[in-house]
Amino acid sequence: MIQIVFVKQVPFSTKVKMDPVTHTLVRSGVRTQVNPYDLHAVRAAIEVKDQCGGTVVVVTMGPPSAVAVLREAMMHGADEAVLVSDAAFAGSDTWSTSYILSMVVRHLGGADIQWFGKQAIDGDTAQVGPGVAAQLNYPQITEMNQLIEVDEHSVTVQKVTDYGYRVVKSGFPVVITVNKEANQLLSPSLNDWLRAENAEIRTINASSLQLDMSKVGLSGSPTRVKRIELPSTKQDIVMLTSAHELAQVIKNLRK
Amino acid sequence: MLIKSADIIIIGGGLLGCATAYQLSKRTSCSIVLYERNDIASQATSRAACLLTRARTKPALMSLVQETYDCIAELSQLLNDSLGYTESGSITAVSELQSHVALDDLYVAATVFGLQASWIDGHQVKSKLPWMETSSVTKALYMPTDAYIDSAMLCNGYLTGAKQNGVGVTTRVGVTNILSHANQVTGVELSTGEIVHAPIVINATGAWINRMIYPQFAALATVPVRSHFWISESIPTIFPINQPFAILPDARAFTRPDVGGLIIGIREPECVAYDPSQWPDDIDDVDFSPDNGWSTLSQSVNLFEKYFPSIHDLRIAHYVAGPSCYTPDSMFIVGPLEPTAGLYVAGGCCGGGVAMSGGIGRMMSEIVLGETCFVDQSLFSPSRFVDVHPYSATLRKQCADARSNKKGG
Repeated sequence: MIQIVFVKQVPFSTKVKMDPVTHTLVRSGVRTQVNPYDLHAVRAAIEVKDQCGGTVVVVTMGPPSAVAVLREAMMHGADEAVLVSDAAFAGSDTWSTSYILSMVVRHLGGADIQWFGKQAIDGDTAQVGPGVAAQLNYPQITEMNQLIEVDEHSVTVQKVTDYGYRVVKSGFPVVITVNKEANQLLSPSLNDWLRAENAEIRTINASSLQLDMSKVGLSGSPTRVKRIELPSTKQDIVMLTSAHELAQVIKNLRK
Repeated sequence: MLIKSADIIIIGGGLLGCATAYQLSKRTSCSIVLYERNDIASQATSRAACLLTRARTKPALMSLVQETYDCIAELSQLLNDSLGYTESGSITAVSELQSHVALDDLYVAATVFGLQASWIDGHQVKSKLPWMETSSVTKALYMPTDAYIDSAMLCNGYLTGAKQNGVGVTTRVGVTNILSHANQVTGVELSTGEIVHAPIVINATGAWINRMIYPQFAALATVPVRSHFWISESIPTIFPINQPFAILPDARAFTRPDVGGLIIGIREPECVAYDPSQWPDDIDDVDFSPDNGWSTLSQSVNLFEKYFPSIHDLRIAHYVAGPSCYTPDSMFIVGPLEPTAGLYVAGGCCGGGVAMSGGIGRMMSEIVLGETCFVDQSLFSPSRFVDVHPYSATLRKQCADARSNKKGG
């Protein structure tokens, strides 16, 4: 079984800055990490591999520094890693990124399961996994919170819905996005780090993917961010220490 | 502009600032205020290994540690809170013959001071620390009354005690300037723009101690040096919380149990020192290790693996790094900052800030109040270093070497 896990490099801290011109996150010089949801996607792929065998390939799209998150994902058990990197990809929105990643899947020869974290903690869109499924015309299962059963032909998972949970079975290929509740991460060991550190990382650029370049990068992205502003912080909070004080506040509000 | 005044201002809400506030508040009815620009115990204090190692070769240091133990007992009773104190005992184990002399010296110093200490053999070490490979251990010292503590809880304990004694505490407000006139401290300026007048100001700002005083006042011979440890996954059956902590001088390492996991501290042969003039205001913004400590562990583990061959397969759940402020002679800096009257400093904790906090707080209080000091304060005098260039590469190298050459816990 071949599985691809897509991971994203996200800022380590919540203290991030926005580029006032492009209205995108300033990522250069910022300490980064693997998007936390994506590590649960890696773990899910490893659990499937433990049962069905095969290969887990971890893929990220980003600048050369994104190799660090590929190695981090490999510490958690992935077998191979691919960096998708090209200056032309800079500023790609979720639609454009989905297009590029779908072409990566084709370039790699396809996989039985393409895994994504439920969403990235920087953009919080939860759109890229479903976007890739749409581009490839694959079935998709979003917000998996439990891997129930898997064999060479199908996978059965429990997913979160607006009303509770649903058990879904799908054949392959399929796109699955993963919640943090889906599994328990295992901490890596020094040997895991050494294996990841010494692993060869394959790099793919735009010319390898036979892309329609009008669909990639900032100019190829249909999203237009007109303005970004910080949410106002509520400084005028008063902590009430008794029901009497609350009653007084309500009385004043009614005046 | 609102103008306030106090008798004593303490800058810094870490262990040394809070311990000083507590000890001062027990000894004087002066008005005391403490300012912390972040949250209490939020910086280096919360990144400490928290060993309360009693045995030291210098009696003055053992007195400082004993004072900390006395404070813990006092605060535990006062606040009805254990402060995360665990009397686990400690084992110092060596393998190299040249380490025997230092361990003999430690044993003599400890027993003369009145501490409980006994020699144990490799089998006894194994019985107390079953995870350890003890075949290379040639000598081991067991100290049954050694303990560890939650440093943030201890810090907050000092501060709660101080507040109960009337100390005023303001957090999220920094001191931007120490004010003086004609070589006499007159107060501080706050980040809010307020001026607070006081004839005595105590600078206990840890890694930022020189930035608070230099170049306006004399500089101190201390810089922050990276101190770090790794915490394994939780395996309570192997690492129960009441196991002794271990000091392994020949591996440049220590271990202690931590909620079912094992804390492993290993000093690098060449420690990393920082230029404090380039530091951000919040330690969360310091990137101590781009790869989360893995390459450092890989490079430093060779001496440790003979005591714990499974280290390569042990799952590591956390890497914790923070600044320890070292001095070239590995002794603290506590006392008046001459020639400015009324200005005092408490810093340069040299990796012993938790264990010494109560003692340093008491020493600082006695110095400020003009009382006879319970230890020889000249050992810790800021003026023992001359011609200090606080941001120089030379000082950074001296302080990094001081940590690299450290043998104890």
